[in-house]
Amino acid sequence: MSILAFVTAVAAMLCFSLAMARHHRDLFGRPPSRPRQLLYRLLGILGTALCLLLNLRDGGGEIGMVTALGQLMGAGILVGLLLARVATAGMNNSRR
Amino acid sequence: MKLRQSMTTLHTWGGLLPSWLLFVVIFTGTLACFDKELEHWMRPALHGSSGPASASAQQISDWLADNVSAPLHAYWIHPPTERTPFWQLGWEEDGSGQRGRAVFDPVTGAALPETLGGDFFFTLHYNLHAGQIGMYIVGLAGVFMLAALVSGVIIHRRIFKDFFTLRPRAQGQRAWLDAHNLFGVVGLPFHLVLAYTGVAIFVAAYMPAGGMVAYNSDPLAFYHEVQGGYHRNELDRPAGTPVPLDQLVTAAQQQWQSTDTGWIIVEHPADASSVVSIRRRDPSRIGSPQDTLSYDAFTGELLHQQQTPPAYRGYIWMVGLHMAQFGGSLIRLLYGVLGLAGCMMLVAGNTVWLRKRAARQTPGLHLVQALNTAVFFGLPVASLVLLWANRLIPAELEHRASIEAWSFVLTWLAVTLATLVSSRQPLARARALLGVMAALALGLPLVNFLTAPHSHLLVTFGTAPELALVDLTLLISGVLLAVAMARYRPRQPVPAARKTECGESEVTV
Repeated sequence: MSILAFVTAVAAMLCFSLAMARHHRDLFGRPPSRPRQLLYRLLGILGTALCLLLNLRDGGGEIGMVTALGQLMGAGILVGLLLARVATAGMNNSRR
Repeated sequence: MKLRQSMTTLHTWGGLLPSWLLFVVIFTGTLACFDKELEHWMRPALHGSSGPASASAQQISDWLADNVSAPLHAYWIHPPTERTPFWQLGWEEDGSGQRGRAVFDPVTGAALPETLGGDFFFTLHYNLHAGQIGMYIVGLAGVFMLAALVSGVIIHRRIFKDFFTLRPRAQGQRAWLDAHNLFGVVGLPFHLVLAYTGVAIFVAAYMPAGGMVAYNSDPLAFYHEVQGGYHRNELDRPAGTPVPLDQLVTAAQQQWQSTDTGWIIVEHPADASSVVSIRRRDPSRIGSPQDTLSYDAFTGELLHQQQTPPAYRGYIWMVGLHMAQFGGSLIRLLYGVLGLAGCMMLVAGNTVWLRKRAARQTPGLHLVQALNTAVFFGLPVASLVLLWANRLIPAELEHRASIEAWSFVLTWLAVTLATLVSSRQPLARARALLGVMAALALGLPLVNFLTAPHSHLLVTFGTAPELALVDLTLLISGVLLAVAMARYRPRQPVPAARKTECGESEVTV
C-alpha cells in the first residue's frame, strides 16, 4: 500500500507540474489551455489528498502524516529530475 | 538596504561559511538513519549464527563483572531487536567517567569483535566526536542552516513558478541554481523540521544556565523532574545480593503486558542504593513511550513508575521526529533520500557561489574550491574506506575500532592534502575522486565476498535482506558514480554561438 501511496504522490506532483506552461511545453510542445490547467491542479490536489488518506489509513494519524509529507517531497524531487531528463532529451532531438 | 538584498547577503554568507560543516552533519545524519543496519553489516561474526536467542541480561551483566574491574557509576543493557539482533552493553566508570561498550552474540552470549559500527556516524552527526564543544559547533551550524533556509525562501522570487525546474544544460550557474532551488524548495519542510528539531532537542544542554539556577547547580535534579524519572542518591554502603536482572525484566513485561523491552539501566551497582530501571520499547510511535519502571536492585521492589509530564512527551516527540526510529524502513528510506537532497542543495549552492565569482577571480576562490573537494568528496571517500577497513582488519586484532577510526581520519586527511597540493583543474580533480568513490563502492561487495563467507550478497540476498540492501546500495551508488565520472569529461572549447545554445555542464567543486 505504501507503493500505491507513493505512486499517487508522484502522479499528483506530475499533475501540478503539467499545470505549469514550461513543463507542459516540454512534454507536449505547447502550454496548457486554461481549463486543462485547472484540471491538472484539481487532479494534483486530489492525488495529494489520496496519498495523505492512504498513509493515514496505513500508519495512523501521527506516522501517516509524516510518511505522506515525506512521500510528497520525494515525489516532487523525482518529478523534477524526470522533467529535466525529458526536457534535455527533447532539446537533443530538436537539435538533430 | 532592502529586505530582499539583506536576506540575499545573509543567505549567501550564512549559507556558504557553515556549508562544509553542514555537509558533514547532513551526510552523516543521512547515514545515521541506517546506523543499526550498518552496525549489523559491520559485524560479520553475527551473520552465520543461527539458533534460538538464549543469552540473557544476567549473562551480559556477569560478563561485565568478570571483565571490568573499575567501580561503575552505571551500566546499561539492550536486548536484541529486529534491527539490532545482538545484545548491547555500555558502562560508565565511577570517578573517571570513562565509558565502554561491548556487543554480544544473541545465541552464545559471547562478546563480538569490536567495531565502530553505525554509531560512529551518529556521533559524528551530533557532536563531531568532540563532546560538548562539538555539540555547540553543530548547534551553531543548525542555527545558520535555519537562517539560510528562511532567507532563501524570502529571496526566491519565483518559488512556485520554478518549483520543478531543473535545466542541466542551462548557461553558467543557472543549472546549479536550479538544482539548489529544486532540492532546497521541494525538500524545504524536511530541511526546516530537521534543522529546527536538531537544535531544539539539545537546547537544555546549549543553554543550561536557567536550569542550573533553578535547581541549585544540580542538572540531574532538573532532568529527573522534567522527565518524571526516578533517582536515588548513593548511600555509600556495601551492596547486597542483587536480584537477577532477568527476573526484573519478566516483572516489567508482566506489568506492561508486552515483551518489548528497551534499555535496562543499573545505577551505581556497587552501592546499597542501586536501582534497576527498565524502559519499554515501542517503535510504532514517533515519540517512544517513556514507560520506565524502577526497581530496588536487591529486593526487587518496584520503587517508581515513570509518569511523563506532557511537556516532556512533546519534547520526546520532537526527538523521535528527528531520529527517524519509528514507522519502519519506509520512513528511514524517505529520510535518507531527503537527507541526500539536503547534501545536493549544499553542493549546488556552493557551486553557484563559485561560478558567479569564477570570471572575476574573487579572492578565496581556490580555498572554497579546495574545501569543496576536501569535504564533499573527502567525507564519502573516508566513509567508504571505513567500511573497507571493517572487512579487512582481522577480527582478533586488539583496538580494532581505533584502527577503523584512524583509517577514516587518515583517508580524509589524505584527500584534503591531495586537494591542497594538487595542481589539477577542479573538474579533473572531481572526476578522479568520483572514480575513486565508484571503485571503492563497487569493490566493497567483492571484498565482502572474499572476506566474509556468511555476509556477501549471494548468501544474504534471500535470507537477510537488511544486509543485502547495504551491498545493493553500494553497487547502485558505484554504478551511478561511475556514470557521473564518465559524463563529466573536459570539453573542447566550442564556438561562442554553439556554446550559447548548448550551455555548459562543467563541475566546479
